Amino acid sequence: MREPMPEATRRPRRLAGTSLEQRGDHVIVRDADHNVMLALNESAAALWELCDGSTTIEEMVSAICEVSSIAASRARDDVERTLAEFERAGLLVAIDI
Amino acid sequence: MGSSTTTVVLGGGMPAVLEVLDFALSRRPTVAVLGWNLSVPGTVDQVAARNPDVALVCADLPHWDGIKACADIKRLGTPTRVIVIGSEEDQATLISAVKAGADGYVTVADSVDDLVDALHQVCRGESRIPSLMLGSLLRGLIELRREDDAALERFTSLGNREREVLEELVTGLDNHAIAAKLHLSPHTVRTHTQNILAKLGVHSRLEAARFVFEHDLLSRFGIGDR
Repeated sequence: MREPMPEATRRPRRLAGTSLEQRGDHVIVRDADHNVMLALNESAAALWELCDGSTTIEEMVSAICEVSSIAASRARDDVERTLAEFERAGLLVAIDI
Repeated sequence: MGSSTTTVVLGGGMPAVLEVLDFALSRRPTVAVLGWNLSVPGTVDQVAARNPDVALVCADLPHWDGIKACADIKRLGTPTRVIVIGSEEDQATLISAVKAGADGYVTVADSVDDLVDALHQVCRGESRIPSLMLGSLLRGLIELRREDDAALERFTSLGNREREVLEELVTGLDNHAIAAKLHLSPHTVRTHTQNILAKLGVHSRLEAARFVFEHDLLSRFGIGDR
């Protein structure tokens, strides 16, 4: 069983072979076999782009706070909720550096 | 104005652009354009005097620095929100706008309806970033933060005397003037300067000064404030 993800210093990374496809207002995540895994709204799609294995959750939260007027605690909750959704869909691996 | 009307001041370097924006926005019942200005100081003065809900400013144009306009308006400390209008491919301008305190960014490809939506959205206290630019914006901000952190690490490796010399160096003083001011020998100042350049990873006094300004060490550590 995979270990639960979010902690500020973790660096989530997308599974290899996944790809994005714009479809109307949403972005579709496909796995390596082109199966549709998840539909993302624009904020989640932006977060998905940051799941490169080098960006920490804390960096994601700080950047989101810089472009929006939401509090850090709410930004952190949003990020962790979204990452948990990626994780549940089996789309992330997490590495600690 | 009624509470459902968003008041706007426009700023930009091209009269034709501002006239078209004024005309298009003034036809909308929920928007009232209070005025527009072609210069940055004039726009900032108009915002200070009329206190609009939103200042809508063009990004860089000939004779117009939209990022400076944004920063100067935010520096007023009034509740006015700022939206910058720029190109959808211009990631650098978007990042600069956000760093200058912009509450929103709309692109020249957006419709007037989009613009009106953006005005109301920032008035509600939300931010407005084009969805297709959001991911790369966040990436750009993270990279800038990393560069700042790396710069800070280099800066904090300086000793106290080196910081004092750097503080004088960024004001443009030469080694003899710095030596006289800090009661050091010119030779000692030269040694400190060489160490400063090596520790900051720069090759000249000019680069050292740029390093200080680019990473905002002036306000973070009071360098150059004396």
